[in-house]
Amino acid sequence: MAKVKKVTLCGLLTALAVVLSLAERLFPLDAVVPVPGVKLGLANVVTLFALTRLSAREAGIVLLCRVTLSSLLMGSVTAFLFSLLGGLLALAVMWLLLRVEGRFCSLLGVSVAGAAAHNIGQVLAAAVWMQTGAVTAYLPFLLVMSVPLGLVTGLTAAVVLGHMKKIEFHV
Amino acid sequence: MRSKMKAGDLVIIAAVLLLAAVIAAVLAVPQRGGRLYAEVWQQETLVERVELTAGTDRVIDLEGHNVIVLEGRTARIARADCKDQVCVRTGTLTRAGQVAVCLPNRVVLKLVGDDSGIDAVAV
Amino acid sequence: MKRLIAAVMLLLGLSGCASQPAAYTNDFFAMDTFMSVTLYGSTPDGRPADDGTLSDMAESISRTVNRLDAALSRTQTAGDLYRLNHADGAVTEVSAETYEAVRQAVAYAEQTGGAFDPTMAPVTDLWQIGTDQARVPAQAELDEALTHVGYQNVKLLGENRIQLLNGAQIDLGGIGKGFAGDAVCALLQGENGAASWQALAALGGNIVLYGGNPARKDGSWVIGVADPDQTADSLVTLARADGSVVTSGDYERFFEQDGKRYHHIFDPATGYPADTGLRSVTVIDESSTRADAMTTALFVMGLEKGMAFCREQGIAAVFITADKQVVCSPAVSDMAVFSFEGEDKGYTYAQ
Repeated sequence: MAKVKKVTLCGLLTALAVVLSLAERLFPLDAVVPVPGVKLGLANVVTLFALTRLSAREAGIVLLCRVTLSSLLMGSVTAFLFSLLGGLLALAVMWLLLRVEGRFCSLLGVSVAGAAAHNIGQVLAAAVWMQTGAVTAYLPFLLVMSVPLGLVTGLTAAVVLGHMKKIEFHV
Repeated sequence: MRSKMKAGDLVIIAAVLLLAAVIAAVLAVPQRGGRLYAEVWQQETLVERVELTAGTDRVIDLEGHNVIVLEGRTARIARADCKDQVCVRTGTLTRAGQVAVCLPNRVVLKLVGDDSGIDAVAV
Repeated sequence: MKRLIAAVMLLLGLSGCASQPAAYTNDFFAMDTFMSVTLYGSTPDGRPADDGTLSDMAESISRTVNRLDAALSRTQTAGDLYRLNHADGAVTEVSAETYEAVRQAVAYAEQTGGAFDPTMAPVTDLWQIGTDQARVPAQAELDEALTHVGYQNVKLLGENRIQLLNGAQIDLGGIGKGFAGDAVCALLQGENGAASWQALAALGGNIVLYGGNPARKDGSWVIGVADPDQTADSLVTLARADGSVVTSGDYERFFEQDGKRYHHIFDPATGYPADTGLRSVTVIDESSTRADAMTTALFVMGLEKGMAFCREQGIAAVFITADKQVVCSPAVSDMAVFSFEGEDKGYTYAQ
């Protein structure tokens, strides 16, 4: 595997993830969950892709770059912490589930679990940061949301991966 | 296609929804003694609102004028830089409706939350 | 997706919903103390009043208290009382409100044989308790100051005109918060923004109750009487739907010199803090002004004389003594549901 190609792909994925992070601000989540910095986690699709086509290490690097960059762009320490813990937890869960993907579940299940883990992670971070357990009140809502969201991102990842197979794209 | 649904997907979705339901149910059941919050007011503005739980352990230092200690489901003004020390001698607040006031610094520590059995204290 | 959000929000909303009406709380500083008003209201057709109506009423209450603070304060130079005290004995016309406050103060001074006296200002000025300059005055100074003290020096001439004789100075600190409490009640009775109001006003520890407590089935407000050593805790609870509960204690304002505690409740006979073995006196009364004046008078009288006075006048009072006794006058059981909670703190209950 060419190192240059790998680095380039990581860069592309980071850029894509940052764009997705910015795009999800269009969704008025604040109205339902009034905790600044809590996000839907659209960018998880990139983590999922990176995990399947690259490795956990590269996925982690892309995650760290994405979280740092989007936090710099949106300028908030809380957003950085919430996204980082959410992203890392999602990465860990998806990495584990990908080992049984194809036998036990599909990419959709992996993605739903990843979305749920993302929300648990960011709410945990919020609880620690704001020193109150009260934010867990929003977790049921976020968990329910993670099902349709995870399905959409899982489907997106599956479609993209299918296309790559067709055009015989290999890293 | 790797998106063909498998039984495990449904298990995962069910698990996520179940977790949501369990958390919602746990939160709906009031905690022992109900929810309790400590509010710290300075010059008539709310500077802190902290939920008091068994694990609360926090010190709020208002620039040295008053030191407020939140410990478990209790709150007290531990130190004040004023002469009368009325707020310190108010003692430890343990239930909703109790208030400790430092008049010279215009600092108010109050507990709010579910019915505690007493609506106000005549002092 | 929108529907889903709406449904989930509804579920969360329902689970967090309480069946009780919402209380509106307004906190403010006035009359050198902290005040907190809890307010409920309902519209003529029985629905809970909206936030705007409640906040308007809360605003009126704090305005009323602040207006009285200015009028009845000894230090606010634009107020009625300041003008009266600085008129050098000339006849002074004041507002109807100020006149009524002074009239009541003098009436309670007469009723208590001067145990409560609104003309103690020259004495309190010497002690300066509550300031950094608090000190024990020389006996000669006190003797001189006491020559100006005496409610008989206040001449109520009718038509809102008052004259102070013999260099007397009025200090309404002993009834000011009570008078403000009665004014709050009058406001709640008269204001038509809602059909009915329910309120608990804690005016620096003077409690005023109005209209019953919607949060309790029996409509009572439960008021604690403070433990003098740990004022957040209570030794006694009193349940009542309306009226006033006022406490005066030696722990509110005081200073210590040479190991002795000097508090702010003065005996008009000696010019010294009343040393009667009491820590606090609580009075339950329909009138908050009377309750306020009576707590001071009973504290000055002491347990024995005070209890005799309560029996004679039908006053509901709770005495807390320095030797850790809680003693109630007979009228207490008529005025409130009484419950003693001081065992754990080493107090005993006696009637």
